[in-house]
Amino acid sequence: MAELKLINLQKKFGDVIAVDNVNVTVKDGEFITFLGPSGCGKTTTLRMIAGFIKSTKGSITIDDKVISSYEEGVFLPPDKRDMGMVFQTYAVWPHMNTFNNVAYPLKFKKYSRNEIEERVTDTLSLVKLDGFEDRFPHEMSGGQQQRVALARALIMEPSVLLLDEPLSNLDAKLRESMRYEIVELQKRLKFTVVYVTHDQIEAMSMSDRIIVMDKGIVQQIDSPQNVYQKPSNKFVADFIGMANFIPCEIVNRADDMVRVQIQDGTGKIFLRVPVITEKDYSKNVTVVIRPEDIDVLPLTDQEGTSGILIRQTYIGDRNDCAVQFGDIILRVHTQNRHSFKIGEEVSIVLNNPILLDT
Amino acid sequence: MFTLQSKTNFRDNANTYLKWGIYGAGGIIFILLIVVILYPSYTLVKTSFYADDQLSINNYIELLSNQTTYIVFRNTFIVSFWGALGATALGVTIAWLLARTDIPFKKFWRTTLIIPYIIPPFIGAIAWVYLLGPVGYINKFWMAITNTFDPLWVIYGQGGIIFVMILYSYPIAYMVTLGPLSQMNPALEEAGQISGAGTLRTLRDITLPLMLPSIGGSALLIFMSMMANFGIPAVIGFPKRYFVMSTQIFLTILNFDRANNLQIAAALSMLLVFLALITMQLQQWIQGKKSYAIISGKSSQPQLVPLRNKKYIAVVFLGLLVLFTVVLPVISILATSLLRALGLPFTLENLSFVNFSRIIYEVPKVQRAIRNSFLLAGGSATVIVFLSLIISYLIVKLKVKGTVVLEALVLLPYAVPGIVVALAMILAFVKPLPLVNISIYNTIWIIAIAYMARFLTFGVRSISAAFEQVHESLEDAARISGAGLVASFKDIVMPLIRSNIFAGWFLSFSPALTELTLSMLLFSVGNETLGTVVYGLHQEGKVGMTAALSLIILVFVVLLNRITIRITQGKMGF
Repeated sequence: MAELKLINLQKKFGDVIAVDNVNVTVKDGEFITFLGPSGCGKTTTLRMIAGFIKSTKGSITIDDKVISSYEEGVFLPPDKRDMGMVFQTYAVWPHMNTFNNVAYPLKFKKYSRNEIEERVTDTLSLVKLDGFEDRFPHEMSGGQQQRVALARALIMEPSVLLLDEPLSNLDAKLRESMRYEIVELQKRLKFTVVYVTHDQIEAMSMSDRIIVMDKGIVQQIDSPQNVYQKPSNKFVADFIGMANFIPCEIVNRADDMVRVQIQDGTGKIFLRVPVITEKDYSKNVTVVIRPEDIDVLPLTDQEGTSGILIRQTYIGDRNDCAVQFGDIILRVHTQNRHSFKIGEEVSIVLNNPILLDT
Repeated sequence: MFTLQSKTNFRDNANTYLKWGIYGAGGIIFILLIVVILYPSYTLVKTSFYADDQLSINNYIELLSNQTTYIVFRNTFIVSFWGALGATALGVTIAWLLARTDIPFKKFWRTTLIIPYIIPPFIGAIAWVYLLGPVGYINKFWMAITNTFDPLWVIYGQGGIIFVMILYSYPIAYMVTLGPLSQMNPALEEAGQISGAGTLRTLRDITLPLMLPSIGGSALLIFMSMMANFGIPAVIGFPKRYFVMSTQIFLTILNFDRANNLQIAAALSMLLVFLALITMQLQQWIQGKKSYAIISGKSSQPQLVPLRNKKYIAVVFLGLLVLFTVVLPVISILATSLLRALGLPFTLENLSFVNFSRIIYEVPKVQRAIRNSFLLAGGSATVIVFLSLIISYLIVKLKVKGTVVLEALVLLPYAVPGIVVALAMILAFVKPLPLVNISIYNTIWIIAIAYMARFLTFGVRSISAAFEQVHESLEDAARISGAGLVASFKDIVMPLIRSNIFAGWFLSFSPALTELTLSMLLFSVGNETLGTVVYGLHQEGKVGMTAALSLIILVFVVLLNRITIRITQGKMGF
C-alpha cells in the first residue's frame, strides 16, 4: 500500500547525533525492523517517521510524496500522515472504553454512526477482542490493552503501521503468540510495517528485512538470513546470535576464497574462508565462527585442530563449552551428549567461518 | 490516502491560532506577574532604602540601633525554633506510630489528627483563649477546684504562642514524614535487628538517621511558616505586649505618628524576608540530600513494630492529642457561641442561638464580610485556575525556556511572609495606576489581586502535576490517530485532569476564604473579609459573636475539605 523512503535522515540533539545518515527504502507491503541496543536511535527514527520529531537533515517520503524534508522546509504533522502507531506503553486512554478508543481515529474521517460501529466490530474481531466494546482499560489485562492499541491503529487502514517495542511489556508466552498474530495480520492485510525492537528473536522471526543500528548509525540492512550468516561487521555479528572472534592473518587469496592463519601464538592452524565481497581486505582480519558451528570430538589423530576443554556446562538441549588452543578461547555449543573431562584434550572442527575486516 | 486538504484547513488554522494564542496569553500573563509580583517587590526594596524622601540607609540604622528590633528578633527566633522543634517531634512521633506500629484505630487517628491543618490558625488561637485565657474555661475550672483566684496558666505570651503553634503545625511534619516512613526499605531495619538492635535502638541508630532529610526538611518548613505567621502572635501575643517580627511590622505600618513608618516597616520586612530566604535555602539543601536511597522499588511493607503493653500508652497519647487539638477547641468555640452572655453558667436556659442570629442580622459588617470573602475567594480561585492552566501548559507541555523564572515568580508571594506581601501591595498600589488613573488602594481590588498573587502557586502546582500525569504517549496516540492539538487537548487531556482542576480551585478557594494577614492591612470600610471581622469582633470583646462566626467558618472549612476529597477521589484534600 505504500513505499516509504528515508533519505539521508539525521537527528541531532544539541551536539549529540542520535541518528545519522539513515537511508532505506521500505517496499510496499514489507515488514522491516529497526534492531539495536538501547540508545541506538531506532525509536528516534520511528518518531521521525511518525512526525513527533523533526529531522535535522534529510527527508521522508511516502510513494514519492514528501512528508518531511529539512532542506525543503516541509513537515506534515502526525495527524496528517495517515499512519497507525502502536506504542510501547499501549497508550490506551483510561477514560474511554474499548469501543471509543478504537473508534477515535474514525472521528476525523466523517463516517456515519453505523459505519463506525461496523468498522469497530470488524477490527475488534481482527484482533480477537470480540465483545470487549464496553470494557475499560483498567478492566483488561496488558495483552488485551495491547490488542486495543493494535485495533486502534489498524482501523485507520493506514498505509504504514509503526510499532514501537509493542511486545516488551508482555510476558514471554504472550509475546510469542502476539508475534505470530501480528505477522499473520500483516500478511493478510498487506500493509507496510516499520517495527522497532531490541529483541533479536522478534526481529529475526517477524521481519522481511532488518536494519541493525548502533549509536545512531546503520550497521547493516539485510534479510534475517544474511544478517545472521553474512554479518557486515563485528557489531552485527555479536549482537545477533553469539560469535567467536578469531584474529587471523591473510596468507593468500583466490577469487572466492582466502587462506588465513589463526593468530593463536603458534601459527600452526589455517582456515579456508569464503569471500563474500570484492573488496580488498587488509592483512589482519577477524574470522567469526558461531558456537553452534564448532564440533567438539574426542581426540583423533586426523588432521584438524585440537584444544583443551576448559569449561563444560550441560544445559539440556546443548553443551555449553569453552575450548582453548594457544591464546584463543572459543565458546562452543554442541549437541552431543558426550561428557568430556575438564582439561581433556579434544578435537575441534571449525565450520562456516565468516570473514570480517578488523 | 491523505485526508482531503480542504476539510482540514479550518483545523489547521485552529491549531496554529491555539498555539499562538497560548504563547500570547503566556506573554500577557508573564507581564501581569511582573506587574503584580515583581513591581511590588521592587517597590518594597526601594522603599526600605528611602527616608525623608531621599535614598538612605537610615531605616536600617534606626532599626539595628533600636533595642526593640533585637527583642523582636529574639522573640521570633525563640518562638519559631521551639515551635518547630515541638511540632516536628510531635509530627514524626505520630507518623511513626501510624506507619510503623500496630497501634489500633489507625483510620480514626488519620482522619482526626490532620484536622488542625485545615483550621485557620487565628481561629485556633481564639479557641485557646476561650480555654486558657484569664477567664478561660480550663482556668475557671481550675480556680473552682482549687478554690483560688490563681489560674492554672494564662495562655497569653511566649509560651502560649509556642503551644498553639505546635498544636496547629505538627500536621506538616506528620504529612511530610509519613510517606518515607511507610515506604522505607524494611531490609535496612531488619539488618539492624539481626545484628542485635532492639526496637528503640533500631529507631535511634537506623530509622531516624535515615529519615533525617525528611525530618530536617519538615522542621525547616515549620520554622518558616512560624516566622511568617501573624494570626497566632496577634491574638496571643498582643495582650501581653509580646511582639514578633510579623506583628511588629504590622504595628509599625499602623503607627502613623512615627516618621518614615512605612519605610521602617519595609526595612524590617526586608530583614524578615532575608531570614526566610536563608531558611528556605537550608530546607532545599537538606531535602535535596536524598543520597540516602531508602525507599525500595519493591512494594514490600515494612514490618510493624508490635507495641504490646505500650499500646495503651500510645493510644492514650494520641487520644490526648485529639482532645487538645480538635475536641477542646471545637467545644470551647461551640460552648461560647451558644452562651447568651459571657460569664453565665452552663444551664439550658442560658443556651441559645442568639449570637448566630445577631451576627447574621444585626451586624452589617458581618454580612459584608461574608459576601466579600466568598466573592474574593471564588473570584480569585477561578482566575487562578485559568492562569494556572495556561502557565502549567507552557511549563509542562510546551516546555518553554525560562520556566525556572516563571516558577520562582509564582512561588514568591507565597514563600514570603503574608505581612510583607501586604506591605508590598500597599507601597506599590497606593498611587494611582498609570493610564487609568485610578488607585486600587482601599478598594476590594487590591485584596483580590493580593489573593491571586498569593495563592496562584496552589493552582499551578496541582495543575502542573495533573499535566505531568497525563503521559505524553496518550497525546501522541491521539495525534497519530488524526487529532490536532485542539482535539488532542479536548478529548484526552481535559477529561483526565478534570478533577485536578476542581481540586486546584478548592485549594485556592479555602485559604482565601479564611485569610487574615493580607486583608488586615488591605481592607477598608466596606471591604471587610471574614478574617478581619472575626479578629475585629474578638478585639472588641464581643466573645459570643466571635465564637458564633468562628464556628460557622469552621464548619464551612471542614465541608470544603470533604468536597475536595470527594471530587478528587481521595487524591487531594486532608
